[in-house]
Amino acid sequence: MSEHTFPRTWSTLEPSSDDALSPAQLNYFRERMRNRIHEAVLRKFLAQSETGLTRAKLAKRLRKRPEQITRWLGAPGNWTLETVSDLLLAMNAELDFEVAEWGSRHKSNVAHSSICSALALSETGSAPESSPRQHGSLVRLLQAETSPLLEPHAEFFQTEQPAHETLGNIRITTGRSAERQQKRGAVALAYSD
Amino acid sequence: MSIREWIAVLRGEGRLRLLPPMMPGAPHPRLIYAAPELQAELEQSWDLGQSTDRIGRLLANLDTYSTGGLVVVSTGVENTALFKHLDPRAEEVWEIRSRDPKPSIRVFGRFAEVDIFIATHMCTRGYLGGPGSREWRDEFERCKTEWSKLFSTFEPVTGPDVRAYISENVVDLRTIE
Repeated sequence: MSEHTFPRTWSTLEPSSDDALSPAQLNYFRERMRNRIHEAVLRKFLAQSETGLTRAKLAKRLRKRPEQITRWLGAPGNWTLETVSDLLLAMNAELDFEVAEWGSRHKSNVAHSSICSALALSETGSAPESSPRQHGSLVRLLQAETSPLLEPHAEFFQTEQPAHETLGNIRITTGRSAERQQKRGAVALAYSD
Repeated sequence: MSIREWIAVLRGEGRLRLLPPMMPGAPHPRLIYAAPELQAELEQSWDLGQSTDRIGRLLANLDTYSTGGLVVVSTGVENTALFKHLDPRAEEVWEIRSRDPKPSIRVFGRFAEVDIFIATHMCTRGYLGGPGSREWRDEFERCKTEWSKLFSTFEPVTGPDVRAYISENVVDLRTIE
């Protein structure tokens, strides 16, 4: 691990079957869940606001002041499960539930464009055929010549697609999703067979 | 030289460090770079078990931004957003707010580029005191000073609305009716 990289790794977070969960692990994931639920509720509000829902209407339905609704929508600070239920019910909605195990989690391949630039990829095309890096091992590339910027992503490159080692197998995705990501300055990396 | 290239120089010299998302494999469409002192403070708190419960919460909040989550921004008087553009806004000083549980933590910084936040330092809300306090002004100025040390010739991002700072998946609380 480079001295320039904050050593926050999965090893500090990954729940072990034997060890007691640390306060850091517990609180990271508690906050993460809180933030994800907040995002889901806020997205629902924003979607319904396009068809006329306002803070005032929501406040009236919940017998709250609009300022309280603003606070709730701004951050999930003092939310309880009851708050979530109330807000969603006032929007004629409720949560759906699905429990995902960590091992089955899909790993994202979305990264900021400067990370991709560090891999010498342009944002508009695939790695050039004549690239001298094309025939090198991507893993060796990451280890030998990358900036520390890439280290947090090394695991993805090493474990997600171990059969594809060369930079020539990386391309920028061309679908609508990739176009949207590129517009916002992010680039999706994908491996081609 | 672009500011992005200058950031690479600073990183090479160890004067800026990337704070990647905690979970490998998470999307990483936005970046947070931290001054080494801030990075060390976070790392030490995590590794030594000091206030790890609070640091865990703070890092989850930082990851909401880094991983491309929906970010709520306050550019007005609202106080509950994750990001707040501090007054006077022309100074382009921002704070990331990790409010609960107490002690509430503020991470100060500026945007070097859209979706690239430079975190200079952090303070507890209790230390800062009320709005307009001397401590608050000092930390506001400290952010600008730290920026100047790192980016003397580069100005922080400035723009008419929040999308100049965070390209998408962002909500300005003032725009919610």
